[in-house]
Order: sequence, then structure tokens, then C-alpha cells
Amino acid sequence: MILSAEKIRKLLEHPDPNPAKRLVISPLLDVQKQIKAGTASIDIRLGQRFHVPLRAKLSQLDVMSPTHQTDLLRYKDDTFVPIGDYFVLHPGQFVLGETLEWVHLPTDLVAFVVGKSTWGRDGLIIATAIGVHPNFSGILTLEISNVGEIPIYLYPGLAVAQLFLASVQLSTESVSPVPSAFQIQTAPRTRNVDIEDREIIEIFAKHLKTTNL
Amino acid sequence: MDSFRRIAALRIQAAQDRTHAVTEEVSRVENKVYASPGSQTILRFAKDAASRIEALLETEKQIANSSPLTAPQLETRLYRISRLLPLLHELVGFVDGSDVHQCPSQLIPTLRRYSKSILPGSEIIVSSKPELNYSIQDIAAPLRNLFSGTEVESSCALLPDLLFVVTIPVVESGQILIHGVLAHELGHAIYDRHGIAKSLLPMITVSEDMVKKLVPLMMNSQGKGAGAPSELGLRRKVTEEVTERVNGWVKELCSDAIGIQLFGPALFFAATHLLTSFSRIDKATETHPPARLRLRLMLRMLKQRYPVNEWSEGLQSLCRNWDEVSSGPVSGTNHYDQIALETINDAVLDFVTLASESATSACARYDGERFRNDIAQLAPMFLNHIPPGEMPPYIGGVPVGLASIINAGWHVYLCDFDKFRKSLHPKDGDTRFAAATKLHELVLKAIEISGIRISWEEARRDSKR
Repeated sequence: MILSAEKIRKLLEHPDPNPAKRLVISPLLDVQKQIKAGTASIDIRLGQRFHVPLRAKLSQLDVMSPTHQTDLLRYKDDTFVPIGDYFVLHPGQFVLGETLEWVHLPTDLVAFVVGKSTWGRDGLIIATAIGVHPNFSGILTLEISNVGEIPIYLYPGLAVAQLFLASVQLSTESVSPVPSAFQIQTAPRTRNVDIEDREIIEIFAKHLKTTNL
Repeated sequence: MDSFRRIAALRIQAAQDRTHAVTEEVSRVENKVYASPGSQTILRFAKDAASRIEALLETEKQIANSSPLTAPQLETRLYRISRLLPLLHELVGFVDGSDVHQCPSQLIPTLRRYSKSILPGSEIIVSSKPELNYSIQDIAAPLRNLFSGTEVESSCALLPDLLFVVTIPVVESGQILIHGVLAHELGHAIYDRHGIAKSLLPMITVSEDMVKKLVPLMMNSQGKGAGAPSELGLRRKVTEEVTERVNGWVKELCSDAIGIQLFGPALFFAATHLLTSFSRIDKATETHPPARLRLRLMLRMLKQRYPVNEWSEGLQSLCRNWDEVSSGPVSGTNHYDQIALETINDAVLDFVTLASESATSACARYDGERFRNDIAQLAPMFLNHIPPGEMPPYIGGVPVGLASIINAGWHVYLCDFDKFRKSLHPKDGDTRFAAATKLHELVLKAIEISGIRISWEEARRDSKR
């Protein structure tokens, strides 16, 4: 069930004494504007760090390449834009941004991040990993791209996305949650190459070669 | 004479090239994003002073060509201006390493605010440098002195009352817990600002007897040849050497004591991890006392001011071990050190503690009650991967202070690190260092959140005025 704005406000106003069971969205600069009565989400703001891939150095994004992960980490420009300053996103440009807020979800809540439609009308697409699992704790990485034709100024601190929260039907079995690979991320992070996924493709490729199909 | 004038013209041109280089360099770096506005202040000052010096040199060029000044007169006039040039180069160097990519930008707004609260009228620049060393230096006063009476004096109007350049080791710029030693550096600033030396040093006397005992030993070892110094000369030299050490060491110790007043146990923990990690525990220099003596003072203060016996077993055991080590005899590497060590006895450590107390206001002091609360409230948040930048409720949350965040972070590092490490994704907790990096990141994030929360409240208040 999706949580109403009032319910979200209540959870933030009366946090559980046990930090593990707490919903945390911090810092909330202007609650009145971020949690609007009658809605079912909370607005989240653009943070101060941007991760820009260096196009001049990256020839491809190929998860099967053995240097994929290191290339992603090496050929990037991490830019810090303090609140009050701006970042210009040019048409066709893609960067990773972050939320200003730290988000911590308890075991019984899941979140969905959606870009605000007002920005979408300017050509700014804020696609995110969309689903944020229970027990996640960190800033959210925002995948920002300008699909319009005019450069867009991005100001850290502006509300650019909204977080929908939903309750999770818990099983009666007790499970110890496995921490996400993006747990405690404090700045936008590129993908982690899933080694197991890559191994599956490699096994298939080898099989194809040997069977000559 | 003509050749002198021609050479003077060439020298002026060369000096103008130097000023031009400063202006060019400032233009090159002024568009970087700096964590503190202090960096831009320095750059503006350097640019302004460089343009004034360039104009003055232009005037000198005309004077050199046309006036009947003698060679020494010209030399004096030229030197009066050109001697300022190396300072401008040095100034631009101060800014190097202070942009947001090279220093912990999350820390700076909070540290600036903190330093303004304890040293009104101050501005701070944090600059990452290659040395494994922390330092603090006020550059505003020396600049005013150097430029005073010169034609460039008016550039000093751009400077704040106090402009501190704080350096941190570049490869450890993210190691926020170790940055707890910045409390010691702020202690230096307070020591100078409050003129503590003036009241404290006269209370400490170097024992004449110890000096007298040392002099014959030195005379014997140096022989009694024709060039050997007299007994009186040696006595004077010993007294001077020891006094220099005592003065320098007391300043360091008092800065430690002030740091303990400001940051509490976090300074002690940071010092034990930094000071003894790359240096011998009894190594002293003319300016710095042995780490063992410094840790002895810090632990002594903690035992006086904090209920150490009620701390968690992990912390108690750490303190017990350090107590045993730091209370052991310090072996001075030379006679001067030995006399300085004997001069700085327990009574002197008491004077130092009292001086640190009178130099810090009660509200700036960290205390046992705050430490207890921080451990109870903030440390569990770290363990649950929540940076405690503000105290819940998260609507209208109260920002957490810098000292509280760092102390809680240290508590997790020292007492609950295994638990924290186990809670991480296997990749992040793979090595002890990787897990510690995660903790440092969380602490920095907490400081950032606290800084944003405070800045927002200040900005909102300002906009309502």
C-alpha cells in the first residue's frame, strides 16, 4: 500500500526509537513544500555531486570487457557544485547526480523514485533505479539526462524528484537482510559489474564456440 | 652610470614579469570551486597587490630613466617594491590544494562556522598538502605587517581579521576521524589570540641547578682547548636552548589541552592514532614535545573531566593501556630535552590545563555529559548506517555539533568496529581499511548534513530580515 503524505510526515515526526526501524529522509529543508497535504509522496532535492563520464576517454560501455569497471572509475569527472551554484547540463548529456537527502528505509518499507514532471517538460529526465529496497541506507543516485535541445541549469537544492513509499508485506520467517551493493553510498556511483551475470554470458559464449552452432 | 640605468630597467622589467606571472596564475585558478571563500580572498588579495606592484614598477621605470638618482638610491627604491614579489608567489601557493576536489568539502562549512564561533572574525582555508602533517597559520597579521608602510598597504583591506591556512595530508583528506587533531590546531590559534604565552610562561622556570649540573659535563666533553666556550657562555647557551624548548613545548601542550576542551576524547583518540603511527614515542624536536608527554597530558585531563571508569570496557581498556605507556619515563635524546622534560612536571601540566580552561568558553567545551549522550544516541545511528547529522525528529531536526559527530564516530571505530564491518556489503567490509573508509564516509556525510541544516536555517533567517 502506498503511503500518504500525512503518513510519511508522521513517520518522520515520530521516528522509531530503534534506528534500524526508522524511516530517515534527512535533511528536509522545507517540509511544507516537500510534503504536500493530500499527495502520496515526498519531494527530494538535487544534491551537490555530479559524476560525469569522460567521453574523450571512454570508447564503449561493454560489461563483458575485463576493464569495464576500472574504466568507469578511472574515466570520470566528479564535480562538486555547492548549493547556490549551478551545473549546466547540455542537450544529449548524461550525468549521475545524487539526492541531497539521505534515505534510510526500515524493513517494512520500499520506495520508488520518480522524476518530477515539471522538469520533464523542460527535457530533463531523472530516471533512477526506481525501486529502493527495504533496509537501504544512502543517498540515491539520479541518472540525469537532457533530452531537450536547450541547455538546462541544474541547481543543487532544487526539488527534482519525488519518493513514493509503500509498505512491504513481511513474511513470518525471520530473514537477515543482505546489504545492497550501494549501501552507504555517499556520492553518485556507477554500476557495479555483476560478476555472476558476466560468467553466465561467458559460459554461453564458450558453449556456442565449442558446439559451433 | 648608464649601464646601471640600463640594468635597472632590465631588472624592473624582470620584476614586472614576476608580477604578471602571479596575475596569470590567479586568472588560471580563480575559477576553480573552493571549499572556503578564504581561498578567493587570498587570490583577490594577490591579484590586487600584483597589479599595484606592477603599476609601482612602471613608475620606477620612468624614474630610473629620467631622474638624477644615484645607483644606491635606485637600488633601495627598487628593492622596497620587489621584495614583496616572493610573498605573492607564496600566497598563491597557499590556495593550492584547497579546491573542493582536493580537500574534504563536506567538512569545511562546518569547520568554518566552528572556528568563527571560537575565534570571532576569523576565516579558514583548508588546504591538502603532500606532507603527513597538520598545521595552522594565520596569514592575515603577517601580511599586514609586511605590507604596512608600503604602497601596497591598501590591498590589506581585503583581508579578514584572522585568516587561517590549515593544512591536512592530501592522501588522508577523507580520514575524518584523524582530522580530530584539527582541535589541536585550533588550540594554537586560541593560544596566540588569547596571548596565553604571556601569562603562562612566566609561571614556568627552568631550574638553575639542572643547568649548572649540565655545564661541567658539556665542558668535559668539549675539552678545554683555546676555542672552547667559557662556563658562563655555556650556561647561557644551555639556558637559551632549554628555554626555547620549554616555550615551544608548552605552546604545543597548551594547544593539546585546548583541543581536549573543544573536542574531548576525539582529540586523544586521533592523536594516539596519528602521532605514534610514524614516529618514535619519545622523539622530541625543538618545537614539539615527545608524543608520550602529550598523550600523558591529554589522558590526565580526560581522567579529571570525564567519568572514564564508567566508559565501555573497550574504551576503558584502551585508556588503561595508554595510561601505563604514557606515564612511563620519557627518555630525552639530548641534555636539553632532558632538562626541558624535567622542567615540565605535573605542576606545569596543571598550569597548562588551567590556562586551556580559561581560554575556552563553557559553551565551546565538550564534556562528559555530551560524550555520554553522543555514545548513547549517535553511535547506534552509525551502526545502522544513518549519518547523525541531525537529531530526530526529521521534521525540524536539530543539527548535531562537529565534536559530537566525531566523538560518536570514534566510539564506533574503537568499540563496535567489528559489528559495523559485519553489517556492510561483503565488498565494502572485505578489508579493515575498506570498512573504515565506509565509516569515515558516514561521518563526513553526517557533518555535511549538519552543515546544510545550519546553513539553511541561517539563510532563512537572513532572508526574513
